[in-house]
Amino acid sequence: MVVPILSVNQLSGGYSRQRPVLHDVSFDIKSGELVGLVGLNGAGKSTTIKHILGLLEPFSGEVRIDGRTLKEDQQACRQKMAYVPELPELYEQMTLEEHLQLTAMAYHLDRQTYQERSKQLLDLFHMEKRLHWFPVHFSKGMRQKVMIMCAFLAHPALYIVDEPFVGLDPLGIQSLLDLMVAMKKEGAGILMSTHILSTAEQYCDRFIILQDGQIVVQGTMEEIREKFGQKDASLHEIYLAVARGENEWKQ
Amino acid sequence: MEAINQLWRSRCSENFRRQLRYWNLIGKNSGLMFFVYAMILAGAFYYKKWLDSLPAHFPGGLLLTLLFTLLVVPSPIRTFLQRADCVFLLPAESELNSYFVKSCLYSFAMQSLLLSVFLIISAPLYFQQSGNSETAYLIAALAIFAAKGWNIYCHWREQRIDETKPLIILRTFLSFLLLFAVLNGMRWVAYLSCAAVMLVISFLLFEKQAARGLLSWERLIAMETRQEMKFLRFANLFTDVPKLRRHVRPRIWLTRFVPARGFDRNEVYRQLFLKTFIRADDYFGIYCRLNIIGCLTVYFVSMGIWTLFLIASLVYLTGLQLLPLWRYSFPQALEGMYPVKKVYKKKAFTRLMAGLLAAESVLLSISGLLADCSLLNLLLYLISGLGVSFVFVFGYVRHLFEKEGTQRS
Repeated sequence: MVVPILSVNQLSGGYSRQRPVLHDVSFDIKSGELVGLVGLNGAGKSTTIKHILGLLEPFSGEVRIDGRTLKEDQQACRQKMAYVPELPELYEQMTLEEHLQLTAMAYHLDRQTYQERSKQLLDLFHMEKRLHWFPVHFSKGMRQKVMIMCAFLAHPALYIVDEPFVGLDPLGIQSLLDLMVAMKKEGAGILMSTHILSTAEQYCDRFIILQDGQIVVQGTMEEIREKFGQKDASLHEIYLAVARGENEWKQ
Repeated sequence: MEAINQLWRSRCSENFRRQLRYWNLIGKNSGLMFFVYAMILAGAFYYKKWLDSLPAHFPGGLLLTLLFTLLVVPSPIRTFLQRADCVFLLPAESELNSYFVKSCLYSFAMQSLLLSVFLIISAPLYFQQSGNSETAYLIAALAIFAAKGWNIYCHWREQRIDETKPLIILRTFLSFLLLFAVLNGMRWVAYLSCAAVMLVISFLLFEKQAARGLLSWERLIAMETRQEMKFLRFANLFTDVPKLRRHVRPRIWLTRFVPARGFDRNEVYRQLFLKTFIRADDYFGIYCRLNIIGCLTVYFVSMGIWTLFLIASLVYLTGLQLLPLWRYSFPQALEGMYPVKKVYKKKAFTRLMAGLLAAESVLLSISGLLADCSLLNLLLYLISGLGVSFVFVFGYVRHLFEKEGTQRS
């Protein structure tokens, strides 16, 4: 049996044990899959991501990356994933080039691979002229591009991408989408949280819909339509109807 | 109106409480306090010796004038303004007069305190050099306070004026003249006429120009932030200050000397700490200043065996000042996610510290050698400096790491 690159089993967690945010969340992501994590503000998307990254500790249940928990082998788990946060965080004292170099060092790339990939990424995001700039001079979108480039430089097996489209220009959004498709083809698993449902519907293979810390439904678009009971509804329509409480999922 | 008075008072006391908390922490940092006491005692001793050795023609009056001009002219005003005030208080600008008057008075009081300390310290030099009476010094002190008040007033007016450079030069010049007149025992006509010119100028130039201009909130807030940061950076030497907003200088010319050596895991934290040391906050500035001051002190105050202690304490002090580099916060989404063991981070930090302190030890020892031309002493200096570096890095810093490790788990 193939081990999923990410498997979340009966995860309950949050910031305090008295008030857990997530309740019994379970899902898998296989290699070559792009999975959309969808939910309203406060549904628990970011909390789920923090648990996967190991920034929060589960109250019960576990997160396995390529079959291992973070506790068993932190280095191996970290080596296998890259993270694009919702709000870009950069080293204010480092240039763009140094950001990329640090990532290359941390993920142990050789110089040639680094040069090839960084050139490609810089080209793709139109940042080649800003190689020696410091983050102070970057706009929100450019900062986001730096985070994306750092994550995609490493070519890990799993990408965790949190709401990546906010602040990106249309070209940047398309580049990111193309990049995700390319990585998927190379066999990477991607978990992407987003509110842009039309884009998600177009690109994601499967969806996980979170509500109040629980998975209300997960599956491919067809499976979700079936549960909703409307053959030609879009993800956007389905999601709005459910979130407003106009419809119930068929059990 | 009452609400605005209330606002100033509450912000002032809030600032006072915050500073008190930090002073409390600074006081508890016993190693450094001990060093400061020792420096004060040694300073007093050498001050006395220096005074006794001064020749009769030493320009003491001029020296005091320069010192007090430097203290009197820069007159930052603590407004306790915050960034958000640009949005929320801006509409009420016309009602803020009493708020700003309070700020000016507060700044005057605080800076006068500092002036008083320097007046006490310079009294022995003044009396020895001029041979004047206490009354003359008292008059000089009053003139210095008045000049401070005048400078604060002018600086406040400058907040409404675009082109302030010539005005600053003008008030520096006038302040210098006034102080020179009172500190060098010139006749009262001299300083009274200077004071009269100052009054006329403040009315004709500052008041008139300010009446035409708009209050520059951006500049006011920048001035406030600068002063707050100054204090926080100072406190950060002793304890961790989380809200310190980081400032960065590229210093490309310098970082060119420390390029990435390879794409090794060792290299990640070496690069991170090196470049943070060179560019972020003021680590590099502090290191350079301590080195320069240290070398000058070792060279000029050659006092035999005591130089050993001087070198040891300078290296120790530098170590303490660089220690906050370890707690420098790196972005969680990057540094926190790197698949690199934390051992490498500790290793890179201890290596950088060891290198910097050893380099300082060698520099100080060489400056000692230049002073007393003795190879044996050079050896002793090196042993003293390098010994302290070694103990500091591999004893104290390691101990800190272990303490941190046990606290986490």
